[in-house]
Amino acid sequence: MRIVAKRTRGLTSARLTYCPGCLHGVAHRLIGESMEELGIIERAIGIAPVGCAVFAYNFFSCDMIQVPHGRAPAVATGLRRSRPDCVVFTYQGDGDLAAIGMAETVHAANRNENITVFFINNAVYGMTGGQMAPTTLAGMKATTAPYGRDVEDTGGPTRMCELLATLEMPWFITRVSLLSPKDILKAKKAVKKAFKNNLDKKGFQFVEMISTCPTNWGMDPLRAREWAKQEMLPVFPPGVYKDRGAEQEDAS
Amino acid sequence: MENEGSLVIVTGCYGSGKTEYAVNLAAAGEPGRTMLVDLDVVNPYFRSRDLRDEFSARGIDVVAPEGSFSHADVPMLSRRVKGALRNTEKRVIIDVGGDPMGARALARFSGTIKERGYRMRLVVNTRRPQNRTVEEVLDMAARIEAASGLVIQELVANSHLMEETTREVVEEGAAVAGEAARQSGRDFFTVCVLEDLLPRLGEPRVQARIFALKKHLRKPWEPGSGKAWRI
Amino acid sequence: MGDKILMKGNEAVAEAAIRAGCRHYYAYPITPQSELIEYMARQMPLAGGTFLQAESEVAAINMVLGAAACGMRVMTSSSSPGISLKQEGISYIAACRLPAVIVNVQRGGPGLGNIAPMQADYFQATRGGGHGDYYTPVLSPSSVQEFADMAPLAFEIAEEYRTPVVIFADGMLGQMMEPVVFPDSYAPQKDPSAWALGCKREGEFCNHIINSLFIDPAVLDQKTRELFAEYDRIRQNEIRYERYNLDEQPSILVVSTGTAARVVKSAVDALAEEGIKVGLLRPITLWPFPYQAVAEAARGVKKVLTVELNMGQMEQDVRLALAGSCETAFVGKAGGLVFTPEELTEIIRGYAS
Repeated sequence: MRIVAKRTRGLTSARLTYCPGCLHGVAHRLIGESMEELGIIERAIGIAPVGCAVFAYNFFSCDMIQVPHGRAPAVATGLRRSRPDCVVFTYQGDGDLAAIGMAETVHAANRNENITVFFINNAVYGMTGGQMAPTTLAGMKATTAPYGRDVEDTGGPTRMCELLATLEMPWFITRVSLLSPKDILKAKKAVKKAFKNNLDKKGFQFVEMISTCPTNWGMDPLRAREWAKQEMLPVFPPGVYKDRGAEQEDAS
Repeated sequence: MENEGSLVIVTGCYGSGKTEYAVNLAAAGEPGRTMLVDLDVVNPYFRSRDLRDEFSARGIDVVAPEGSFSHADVPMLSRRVKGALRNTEKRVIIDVGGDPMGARALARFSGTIKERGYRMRLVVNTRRPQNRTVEEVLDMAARIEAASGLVIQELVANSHLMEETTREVVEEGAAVAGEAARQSGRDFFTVCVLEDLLPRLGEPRVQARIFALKKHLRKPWEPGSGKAWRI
Repeated sequence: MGDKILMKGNEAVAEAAIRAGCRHYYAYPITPQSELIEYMARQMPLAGGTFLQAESEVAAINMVLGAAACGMRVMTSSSSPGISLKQEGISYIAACRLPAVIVNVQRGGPGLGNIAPMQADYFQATRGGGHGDYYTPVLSPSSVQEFADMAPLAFEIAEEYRTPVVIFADGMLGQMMEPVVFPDSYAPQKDPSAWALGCKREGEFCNHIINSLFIDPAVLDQKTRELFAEYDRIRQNEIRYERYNLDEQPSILVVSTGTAARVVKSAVDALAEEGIKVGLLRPITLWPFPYQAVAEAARGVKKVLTVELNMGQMEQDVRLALAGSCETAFVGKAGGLVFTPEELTEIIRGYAS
């Protein structure tokens, strides 16, 4: 018998608290596998946000800390400057990162802090029950946008990769999708590259992952993925938005 | 003697006692013919402007941000500064903020100051960090000159620990300031000692004249502080 | 002991913190504490430590949370409005049982207020300050030397009880210069490797988790009780105060702290020369408050006066201490005004006659 799939050592044996069909589980696995493959579980410190991933400190098997809403990049700054040999990562949703934590995100990126920020974008506040997020699409309904998001009134969906890529300092900024097996393989490469860059002390790594929220969107998981492909990917196109490593290679 | 020069600029490291020295120069000036210009944009407390009421009653004009803005939390210079610098009818004493950082405020007026002619003094307190040795004093002088665009001609020793000043402290400061002056070809101008301490200190052995300072800038719990704290 | 030198309170507390082994400092500029952040910007890199000017007070306290979670001696400082912004983070640091030191160089409030000295953050400092059921030890200096000495003391208390500690100064203490001398050695840091993040660990790896989320109310109840058991230990061991002119029976007891207590001392001395016996009890820890010491000092006096640079906050703790056993009065100034000794002497004389 050949083992073709097994639990990664990067995750604990705790049962995930996410809804069935939620893609947080996929994102967790990509991070856990990458830590295991790079041999950094014992020297990684992860940050659980406020949001659906608030219990992430139970799921990743590295050192973990749970922090105030939106402040993960600031806490990560304190962690990584205290433990320069550790790999420090945050795991944040769209409300945490792009609303309340916008300032901390932008400034940590601008300082090129040697951390990885994983940004799970599902266009809605999951934890608190489906309220409007900064990334909610135009016209999309949420409990606090019951008539659909009116961009004239509440602004348009915030494109974090594009916004951060205007800064000179951050090292690697990419958007990936978790919506198909092929996309997931690509996402894994991005996760590993980010960690690898941290090990090489290159600086700020930003990996946005386009995800779904079947529960709050009111769709079954498969339909949610199809909807996200049609509606979200045109607004949030996957791609590499900044890669100073590649720029340097091109230049040489 | 202390009042030589029609434009005297008082600089020094942060906390060297510049303001107390400048205020004493102004207090000794001729009423109606003396102006004290407060250029301190660094310190929020213990500034010469705190003495404005007391001094103007004595005919000494204090040029500083006016009215309630005198306690504002923004670097602010009075629009009367330039006029004061050009007023050759009066003797002008400029109290500059500490360190090169404070001396920056002089740079924008350096043209006017050079036109008129000036004497710039560096106040030295060897009981302040970064001002303890001849090398540190000369380094401070060079950096203040660079920041202000002006030249320091004279050194004033003001080593003290407030009420805890000893004769040893005064002599140590005079020795360092004297040596710094000798090495850099500047005048070693005076040695300051708080007037109240003079009887206790006896006669310190120093290589310059002693200038007895009257304490004007008091902490709130020191008797006679009321005016300084505008209560 | 080194030479006595002249320093501002803001500089002296920064220097003392570095000497005591603080190697991580995060803050945001605000008057009247800016000399502290500027001193750290200059000296911390020379000491091989981390200095970072954060994008906000909110970010600064969360950077402190990160460094504290790694078991570092870490400090931040600010002034009243900035301390309000830090309160969320302080609540998390307290809940996570992490040692850290926060310096508040208070200014006039509420709102933007002004840059003059006040003691109006007393309630905030002594009642936890942020959300939730917690306290932080609060140390109140009244001279530059004491301000400096409180840096190592704050770290020791923070590490012994794994709690954030607040140094409660004001603009006067931050801005004024006084002679100060630093000891030759300091207590070593307590080993944090049993709980800190990112420590190298021998044997099989078992991860460390730092967390303040306890979804089950019974578990949170238990965690809070553990926290309060530690507070009992702090109450037993850490209460500090100064008794001034209290050896003979005074007719009036004054309770006052920090800058206000300095003026009270001048008034007490002046009244002693007139033959009026006034004693001062100066709380040095504001939390835990020296309730018993105040009650004892109040025995046999005609009246207990509380003198503060606010509209009456510590005064409530004094009345708690006395539990109605003695007449009390409050004397205060708001807006950043400070009493003159003459003025205060007259007020106290009025109560004594």
